Amino acid sequence: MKRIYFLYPAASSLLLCQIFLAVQAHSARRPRYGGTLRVEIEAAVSSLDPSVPPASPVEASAKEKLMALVFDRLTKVDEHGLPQPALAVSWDHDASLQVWQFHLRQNVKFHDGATLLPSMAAAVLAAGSSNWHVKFSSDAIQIETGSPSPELPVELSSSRYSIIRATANESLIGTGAFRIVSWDAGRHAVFAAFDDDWEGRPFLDVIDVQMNRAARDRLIDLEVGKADFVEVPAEAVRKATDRGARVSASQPDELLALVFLSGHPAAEEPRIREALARSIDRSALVNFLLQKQGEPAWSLLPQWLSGAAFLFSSSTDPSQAKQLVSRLASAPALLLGYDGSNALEKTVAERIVVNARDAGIALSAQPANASAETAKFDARLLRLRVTSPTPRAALAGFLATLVPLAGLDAAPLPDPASPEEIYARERAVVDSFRVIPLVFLPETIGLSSRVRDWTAPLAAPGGGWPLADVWLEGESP
Amino acid sequence: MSDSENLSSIASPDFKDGIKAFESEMQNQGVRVSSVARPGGPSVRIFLSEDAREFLWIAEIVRNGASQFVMLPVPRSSILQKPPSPPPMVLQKQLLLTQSEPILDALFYKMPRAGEQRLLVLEPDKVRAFHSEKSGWTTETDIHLRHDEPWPRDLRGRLLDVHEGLTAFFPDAECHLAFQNLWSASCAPKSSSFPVFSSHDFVQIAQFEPHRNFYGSSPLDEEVRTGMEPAYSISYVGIHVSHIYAVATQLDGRAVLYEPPSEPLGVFRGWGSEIVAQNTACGQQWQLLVTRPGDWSEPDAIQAFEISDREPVAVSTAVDFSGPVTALWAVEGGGSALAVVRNLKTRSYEAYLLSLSCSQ
Repeated sequence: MKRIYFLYPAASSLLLCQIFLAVQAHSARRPRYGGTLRVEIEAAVSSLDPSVPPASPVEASAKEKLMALVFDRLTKVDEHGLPQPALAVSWDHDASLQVWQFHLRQNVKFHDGATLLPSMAAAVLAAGSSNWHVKFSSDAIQIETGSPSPELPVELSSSRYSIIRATANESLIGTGAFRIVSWDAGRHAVFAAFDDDWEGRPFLDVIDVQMNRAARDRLIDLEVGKADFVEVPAEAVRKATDRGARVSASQPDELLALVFLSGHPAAEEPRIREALARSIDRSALVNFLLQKQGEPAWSLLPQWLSGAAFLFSSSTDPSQAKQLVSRLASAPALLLGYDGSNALEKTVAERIVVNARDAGIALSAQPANASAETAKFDARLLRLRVTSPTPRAALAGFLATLVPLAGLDAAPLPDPASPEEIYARERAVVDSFRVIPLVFLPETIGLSSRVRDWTAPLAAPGGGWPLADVWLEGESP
Repeated sequence: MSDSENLSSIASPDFKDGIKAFESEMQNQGVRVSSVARPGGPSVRIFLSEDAREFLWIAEIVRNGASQFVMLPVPRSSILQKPPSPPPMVLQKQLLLTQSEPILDALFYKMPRAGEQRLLVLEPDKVRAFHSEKSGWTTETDIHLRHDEPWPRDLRGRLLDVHEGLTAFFPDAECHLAFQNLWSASCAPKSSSFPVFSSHDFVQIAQFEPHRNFYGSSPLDEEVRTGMEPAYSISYVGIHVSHIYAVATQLDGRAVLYEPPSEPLGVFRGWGSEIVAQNTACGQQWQLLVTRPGDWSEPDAIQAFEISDREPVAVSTAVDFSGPVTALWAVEGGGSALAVVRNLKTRSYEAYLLSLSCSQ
């Protein structure tokens, strides 16, 4: 008879009893009300005020997720990238696509009980864009954009257009499913269910968010039952699941890329850029560093988003890389910068250095934490998050960062853009070798056994975690 | 890999399914298992035994040469059930319609005067009327329902043709529909309650927890007083023609068999939150259609059970669906049921007609 051996000494009769009971007492299927969801995240979010710029992309991403718990927008985006009603129930426009009417949902309450009025929403939207002329009537808001804006409903789903009010004591309130109960900037936040939420009170009573938690601490807290919902770095997923964690992964929605910084002499040598691109072993990055949590990237947009990523497929070619280097009169030494606080970027940078040296490229890597230091780097590792499920909007979002950084063609993408136009623009960027796609990463979340009805969201503007639909096993209503 | 032995009468595949569930839950609890011994580390052996009334899980924990035992009795109903082969009844599903808007209930309605049949579908803010064409059900008109307050997040609704007329029941409102050349609806708020049982002449109402998704206490009918725990679904089963029982799916995942008014007779595990009674010409003439446990991120299934000697016995194979069952209601007459499913891939709502028939 085979035996089960416990690798931890914590096996106890009480634990086994819990396990027996848990196996038998399967949850009922309908959601249950009640309980506190204990969340731990990496970022230290200083403020939920959209006018306060986040200090880093990591903080920006976390801030969007927390904002989505508390604040609504006029619209939201579904899994097809199409705008759906939120605080606006319908909309129409004139023939020029410059004048839009958004009809507001009635009887929506702010967290202090005040009713949302068109005048309040209009004031927020007018402040959000200096180009717009915003008017309101008894039940609608009119926005004159000044130029054709076919994607305005999608644009309004972005967190920068969150409908927010400041109370007399300067705290921020919204109309979202949760209200802020306490806020300790950068450390701890508590959100409570809003009973009068226009979408129905959420099932959870409270969401307790610990910020600025290191990955190791988050995983330990999940393992010992002190947390229910934690961010898990992609490279730590395998270890976490080996230790019994339940991990949910989204579609790959983040690109890790190497970007040559415009204006640096070394970066202006196209053969060096191409040689480096051909020397990098992306499969090894995914298989060994990421433990298969991710996909090799040869394009800017992942396959599920553009449908054309497979056209970019290629393979590492170290011999061609060496040939390119050998044709140079003198190969410049390159310095690659990475986020020193991110373990994945450090190991990826070190791996790239090894690949580059095998091809005869003198590359070294250093952490680049202070903005003043960026001038010394020839290239940087950069993480670009997909913010829309539509290819044009996602690519436009990437280009907004890449064009000034890498000195790319600044011509705007056509709007609307055909699949061929999107592919052509991606191809132009990739073939310049100024941006070298490396890997696509999913968002991975560790969940305790109590968490029910969690579905990883698709990338969307203003998109957050759908925690209003989550419930906890074993809670009393 | 598991170290386990089946000493019970349960079939080997069912036992193996149970062991897999056990191992999975061990991982969820953070217990790492291996087939390789670690010096000084504990090991466990699992047995499933039984006595005259119930099964018995037994775990032997061996540590430093000493054994410790954990035992847990298990009602027979909690073990996964496969019906006898061939099953005595056949449960079939027929897709009525698919739409993107949420479906709370649906009703076949014979139009006054003309006598033509319509399919009326209850949604949170309207009743949609369909007429039948060769291609299927086609939208004819929408009858808008006015409700000023936000609905609960998990809204439940029933559309019933009762002696007062066509009525849409919500936990805190009722809407009466009428047709005189055109459809009209008038809605009024009410104290939180919801139908438990209906026939054409009678609707039994139960108290419903305000702004929630469950019955708060026992039905308001004078014959059935306090004692029932809060429940997601309550169904009445006439096991013997002269004797009616109630089955309620509680919030903790257990289903409880009651003798009215509220005397618990049995506890069933391994069922989901939706149940509905069916009155057929088969077997004991009363069966329960039951969903699977889990949550709404997983596909669901419905299976038919009878109650025999206070224990549930599966009498059909399970019918699978493409997503969770969000509503399960008896169709008037008791011989069929309506199941509403949220398709996990398309996100659409699908309404199915379920029918239970005797096997040949």
